[in-house]
Amino acid sequence: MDRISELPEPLLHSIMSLLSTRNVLRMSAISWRWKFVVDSFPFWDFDQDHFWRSWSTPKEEACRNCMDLAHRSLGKLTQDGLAMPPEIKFCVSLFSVIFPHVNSLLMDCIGMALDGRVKKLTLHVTQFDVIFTVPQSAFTSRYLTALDLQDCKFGDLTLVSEVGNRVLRKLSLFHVQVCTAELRLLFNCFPFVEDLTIKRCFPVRTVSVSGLPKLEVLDVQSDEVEVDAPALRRLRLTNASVDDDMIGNVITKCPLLEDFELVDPRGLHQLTTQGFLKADCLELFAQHQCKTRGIIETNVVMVRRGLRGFCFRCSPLALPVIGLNITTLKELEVRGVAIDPGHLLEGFFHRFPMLEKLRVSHCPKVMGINISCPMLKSIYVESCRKLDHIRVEAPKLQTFHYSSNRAPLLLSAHVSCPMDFMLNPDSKSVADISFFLRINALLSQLDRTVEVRLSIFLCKMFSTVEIPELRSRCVSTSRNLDELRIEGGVQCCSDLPSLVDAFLWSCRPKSIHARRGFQKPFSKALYAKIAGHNPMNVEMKKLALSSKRGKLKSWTLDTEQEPSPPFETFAELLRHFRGGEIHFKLHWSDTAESSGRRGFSRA
Amino acid sequence: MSSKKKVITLRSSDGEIFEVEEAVALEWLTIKPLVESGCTDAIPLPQVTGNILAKVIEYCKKHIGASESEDRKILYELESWDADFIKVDQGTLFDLIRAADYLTIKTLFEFTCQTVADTIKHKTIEEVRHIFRESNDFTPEEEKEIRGKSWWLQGL
Repeated sequence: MDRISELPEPLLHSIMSLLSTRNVLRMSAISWRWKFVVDSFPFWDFDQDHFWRSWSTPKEEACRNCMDLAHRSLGKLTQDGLAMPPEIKFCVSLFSVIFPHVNSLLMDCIGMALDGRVKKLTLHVTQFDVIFTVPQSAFTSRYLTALDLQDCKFGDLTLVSEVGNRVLRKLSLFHVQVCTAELRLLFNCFPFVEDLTIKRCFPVRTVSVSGLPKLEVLDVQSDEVEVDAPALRRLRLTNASVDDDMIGNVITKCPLLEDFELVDPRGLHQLTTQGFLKADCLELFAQHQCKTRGIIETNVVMVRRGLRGFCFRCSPLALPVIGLNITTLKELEVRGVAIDPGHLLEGFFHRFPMLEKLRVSHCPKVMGINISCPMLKSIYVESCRKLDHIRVEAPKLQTFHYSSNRAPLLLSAHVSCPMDFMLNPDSKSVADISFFLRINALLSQLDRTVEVRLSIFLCKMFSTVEIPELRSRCVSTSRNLDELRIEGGVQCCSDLPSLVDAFLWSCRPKSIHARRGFQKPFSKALYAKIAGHNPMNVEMKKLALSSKRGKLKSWTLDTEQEPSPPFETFAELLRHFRGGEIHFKLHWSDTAESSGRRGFSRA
Repeated sequence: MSSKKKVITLRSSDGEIFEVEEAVALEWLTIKPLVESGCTDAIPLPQVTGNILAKVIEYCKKHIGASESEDRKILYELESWDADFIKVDQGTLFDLIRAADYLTIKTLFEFTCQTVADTIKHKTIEEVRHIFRESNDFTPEEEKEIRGKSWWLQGL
């Protein structure tokens, strides 16, 4: 079979159901065969935006076209006694000009969908003068398992709540006009709902969720919330005012709660008691929904928003949690939290003696972290620009991960695990002399650490480092860097030999992996430095090339067994090499003391 | 007996014989009852040719057990394997859709349909015609009428 149109109609329909309504409609202009296939396609997504092309076409027309199609398509299915699509979606704006006509069409369509035993119904109906009333039949259908309502209101619910719907599992209300009494009736109507979302509903002030024995997931955006759900596992409250009683009530009334998220809560500073006692995991967010813009811009926006709009605005992070001695807490995430410039995160973590996992990220003003936790297993520190001091005492630590654009100045760690550092100097902090000095200072403080690994991504302008100056300012240290990974764009630096020198001098790496963009030119410079004439007491022990592409898949040289080839041969070798990485294993023959200041000079 | 993997024999429309493990055949809902009843003869599949059946078996063997894996690396590898697998000519692709539908293999059916849908997405009518070598059997008048009536076809 060569032609797509030779496929039987049901198969073509299943392909079309993966396309947008607009795309499907467009296909009717391909040929007669396609026109027939499209005509018999059971449309399900009636979003007027599919019918709206540009500002030059009025929205009313899009809405009318959309409802015409819905009426025709659903009417045909009803007439022929065919099965409805399992999911039907209506997203329309009713304008008063066309209201009578479209409203009757919409009501007809909803009726047909419900009669046709549709399983999932989505109603996003915007109406400008009055609020759209959801037809009663939507509450009494015995086949509906998911209902999603937006911008509408309910009629009289007393009658329907007696009939009820025992199969509905998912209910979502967004910007719906509903009062407290109506909410209670609604819960009576759908007693077995498992997933409930209530967001920005009005005029209800206190969203009180109770009488839902099977509720597992709840997502509420409202000022005041009361929750009593014995089976609840995940709870997310947005903009809720929190205090001790409220948190305490939630925790006692939802014994199965696993995941509790407070997004932009109000009055967090009032918390004093041990409401979180039973919580295992607590995340403190400032703002976590900035995915629309570019990365760097997003960070800035996120940070600023955190500064202005969040409840930590006028009080440091420590304040709301001062009274919170959450002795059982195991995981803590502090992200994007604004803290007074002078304030260090010191002393804060002592409140969590059982902490096992800590993540501090995107906290631009944090200058120091001081933590000593006997149980701590992993620490992640990411993107804290001003962070200068880290003190860690954690005998059980297994993972230490630090990632930022520069190295911390002071680091004292009593840990027994390898430490990973990822430094990405960005446009604001180029890899200049102070960058290397910081790395050198960092290493000199890590005498007792088992293994230190550093990976660097260089992509922005690299200014030439004055090697004599670097040499005179570097601290001589017995510490060698165990592993250096370098990647990025080599075009960012014009003077490769001095970059090589800077690395050798500041880190004394035992092993260097040159990767992506840094393979050939960097390796040539490094090879010339070491294997050429070598005044600096460092020898190449092993050289390994591995690549996926290119003629040369892998090549290893063990200098203990055979002498290293001259530079020309090496350069020739690199010609056949493409992709992958080049690995140098180095041996520093003298100790730091003797190498001291005499070290190496620029070749 | 239970330790030894049971093998199911299949016969394609052109008489080729294939052997698959029972676990693989149980994913094919159409022949599942036959397999469960302990049928030992070769199961005839009159709608599927040998080369297509070979491809179907290749896909199912790769995917069995792997799809539920949580390991990102495995899933990533599977994805790239899938991308290579689906680089076939249109005829084979449509045959695969039919075979997946006939044998009721949900994963393969969804995957192949999605592949076709992705090809059609964001294309103009002429492009779709060209890709699938569909001939335009409208007369110019008819086409003008169809396009004029539905504004969303204008300018495409």
